[in-house]
Amino acid sequence: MRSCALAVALLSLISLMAGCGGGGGGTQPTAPANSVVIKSVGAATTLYGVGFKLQLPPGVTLATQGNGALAAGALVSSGGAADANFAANYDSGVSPQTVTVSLTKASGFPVGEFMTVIPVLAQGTALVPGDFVLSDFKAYDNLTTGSPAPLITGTVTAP
Amino acid sequence: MGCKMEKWIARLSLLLLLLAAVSAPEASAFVIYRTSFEEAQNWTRSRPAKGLAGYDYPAAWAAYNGGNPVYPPPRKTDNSFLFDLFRVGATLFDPPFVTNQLEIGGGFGRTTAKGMLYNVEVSGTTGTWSGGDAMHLWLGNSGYSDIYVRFYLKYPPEWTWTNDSNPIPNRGAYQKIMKVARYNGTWGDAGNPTLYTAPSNGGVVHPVWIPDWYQYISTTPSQTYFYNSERYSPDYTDNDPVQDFYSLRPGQYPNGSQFKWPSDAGWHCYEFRAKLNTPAGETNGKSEVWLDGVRVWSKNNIVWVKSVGSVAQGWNDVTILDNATIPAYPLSSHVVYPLYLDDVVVSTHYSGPPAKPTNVIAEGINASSIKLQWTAGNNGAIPQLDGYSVYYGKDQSSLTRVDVGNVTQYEVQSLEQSTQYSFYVTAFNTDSTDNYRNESLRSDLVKAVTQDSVKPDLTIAPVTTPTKSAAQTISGTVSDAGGVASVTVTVGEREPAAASIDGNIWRYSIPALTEGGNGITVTAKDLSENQAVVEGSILLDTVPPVLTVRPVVTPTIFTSQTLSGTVSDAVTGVSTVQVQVAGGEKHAAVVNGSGEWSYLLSNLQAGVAAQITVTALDTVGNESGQSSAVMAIGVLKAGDLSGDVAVGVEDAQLAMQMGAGLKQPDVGQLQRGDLAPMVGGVPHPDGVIDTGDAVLILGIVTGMTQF
Repeated sequence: MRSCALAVALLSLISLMAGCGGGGGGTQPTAPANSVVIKSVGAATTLYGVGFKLQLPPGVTLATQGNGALAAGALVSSGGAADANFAANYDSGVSPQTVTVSLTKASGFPVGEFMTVIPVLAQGTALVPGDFVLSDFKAYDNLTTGSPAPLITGTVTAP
Repeated sequence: MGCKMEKWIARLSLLLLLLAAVSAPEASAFVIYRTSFEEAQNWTRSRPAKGLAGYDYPAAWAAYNGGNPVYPPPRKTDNSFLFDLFRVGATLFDPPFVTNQLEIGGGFGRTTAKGMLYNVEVSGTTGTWSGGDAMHLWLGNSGYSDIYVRFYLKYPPEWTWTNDSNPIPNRGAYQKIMKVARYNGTWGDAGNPTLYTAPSNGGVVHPVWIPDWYQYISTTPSQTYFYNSERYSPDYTDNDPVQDFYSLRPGQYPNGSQFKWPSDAGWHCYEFRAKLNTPAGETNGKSEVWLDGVRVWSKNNIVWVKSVGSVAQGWNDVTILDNATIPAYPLSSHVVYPLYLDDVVVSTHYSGPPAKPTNVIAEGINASSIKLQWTAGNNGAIPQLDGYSVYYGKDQSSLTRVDVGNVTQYEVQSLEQSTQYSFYVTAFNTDSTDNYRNESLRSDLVKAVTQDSVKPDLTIAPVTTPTKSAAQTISGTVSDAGGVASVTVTVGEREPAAASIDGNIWRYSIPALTEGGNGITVTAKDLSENQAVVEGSILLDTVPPVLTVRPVVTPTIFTSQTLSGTVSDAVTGVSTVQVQVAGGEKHAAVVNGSGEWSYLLSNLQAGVAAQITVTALDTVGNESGQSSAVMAIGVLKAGDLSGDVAVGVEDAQLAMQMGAGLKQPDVGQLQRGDLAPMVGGVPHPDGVIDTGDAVLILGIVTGMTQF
């Protein structure tokens, strides 16, 4: 069974809620201690979108709603992309569990932190950022090409 | 004429004849009487007032009262009488409409010379006669058994015999042209030479021949006939046959059944022959009539004098012009027709114009001469022929006359080289003491060309080529000083066909050209067989170009697209390839020399299936109707994942959902939303819709990216 989560926060243009999840927007929160942040890494530039897959370590899951969608706050745009829109597809039926995220922000955001993950830890599980596997990471720094910036990579770190 | 000597001679002759109990002598050919009026004093004879007695015999007889008549005939300049008697009836009109009956003076004759004017009052009804005798001649007791009476008359063009616009059926108009009679006694005895119709008139004038004009009308148009009135001797029995001149001589009266002549304002020569039968009772009398030298009447076997009569005296009484009855206008209209008389000859031989020459042949014999040959005409009379006249010139309406003598061939010299001339030949006599010669009618017109080695001048006007019309009229000019005989046109391998010629323009309508090249050869020949040739060609192309259109990309996210294909035309070549979008204005595509064409479509509207029509024309306008391509290009709105033909953040949202795997794009969404990556401004779809596409959609939303 798949569960999905979509966090949608409109940028400065228009607010829109759609899909099966929500998220993003608001005052920059302070990342909780049991969270990890995802950052882009590379030369300073303005990014407009990021897409990636995040493989959760064993014993780490994400909170969902009753319908299987991600619970609010499981994923939060953060850092320079605090008010970015994103869509996240959390597939809890596979092992290891993954969540696929697509995040955009028309006004752009800097290289660096753009998302915070607040997982649910199984009993006895320690949250180790290095255990998360970030793949298919693509950062987009050009609104006219839609091409990924090849020198921008992603990383999962502690808050 | 008043010639006393002649009368004494005649009386003596009669006496001798009676003693010898022989028939009338046949005088040798000579002129019995003649006048051209030039020898006459001017003279005017008014009419008696309406209802009064006329001026008549004997009071108007030259010999009356010892040569001092009450109403004297006109006199010659030597004071002798010009003729013996006249007769003037009372006028039918009231003053001031009364005219003189007779006048002699200048301007009444042929050209401007003297002649006699005879005014004819239009009586209004058939049977009401007007006028009288213009001239009455006494030829002596013995007379002449064979007599010719000749004179010239001119009828005015307004002369109308009957009222054809309001015809009264079965009515006629008459005019007595002349009378030849025999007075069976001696003028001055008890008889009246002017009365001839019945024994009750005295029984002294018989036989009588009175040729009349007779206009008979039963239906319009009325017909003019020759009315031949014969009264035989001694019992006045008569015979009045009618002859239609037109049926006798249709070639001379080209007006057909409507016999216009002689009212053509021209002078015409009338000559009448009356020959008594000899002996009495023998069927060998004769009458003949010539008009302008053409015999229009001939009657043989006439018994003028029956066996119980006598031919001891011949014709001795001649009247020229007599009264008329003309119903063309009512009496109240007071219409008077002037009629002119000149050059009167009474003779024992024919004195009028000879018959016109026949069989005229003209032939150019060198560069400046044309030889004519002809045959003397025959009008049944022995002509007094003095020679021939040749009329010639380049313009047949303005010919030069040359009198060539009594020959039947003549060489016209000093003519222009290679030039066509027209010719008439006439015969004439001048020995009748007329002031003007008696000339025959003209021969048929003949034409000939001086020797000609110059070919015609021939041109052809520019033809329409190439053309898609299979029919075409071509033309040009042609001229030749000697005359053009023919212009023929040969088209391709066809047989030559005659062109029409109007003046110096020739024309030919080609009925059906052959597809491809058509050689045109125009050949002109002159009358001397010299030939000129001009050539041209016409390219016929009725096949439209062959047009292909390469498949278009549809549907597409692009608002512009280059159409292309091939085009060719085997005959005349391609003129243009035109592209029309949605029925709008046609625009020319680019056609290169290799048969390739292209056209950049732009500003296509998203969400609209643009109808594209491609048409090719060749240089003559054949349109590739069969090959024209009609297609539709569907233009999609790039980035429009929601399908609302607009791009907004919701589309970016959908792209992110698809990029995250939350939604799967359908085919249309892939066509519209799979844009990234863009390379050089051109999308390179990668088969998925992901964050890159979402970013591009945001670029579209923000105006950063355009399609």
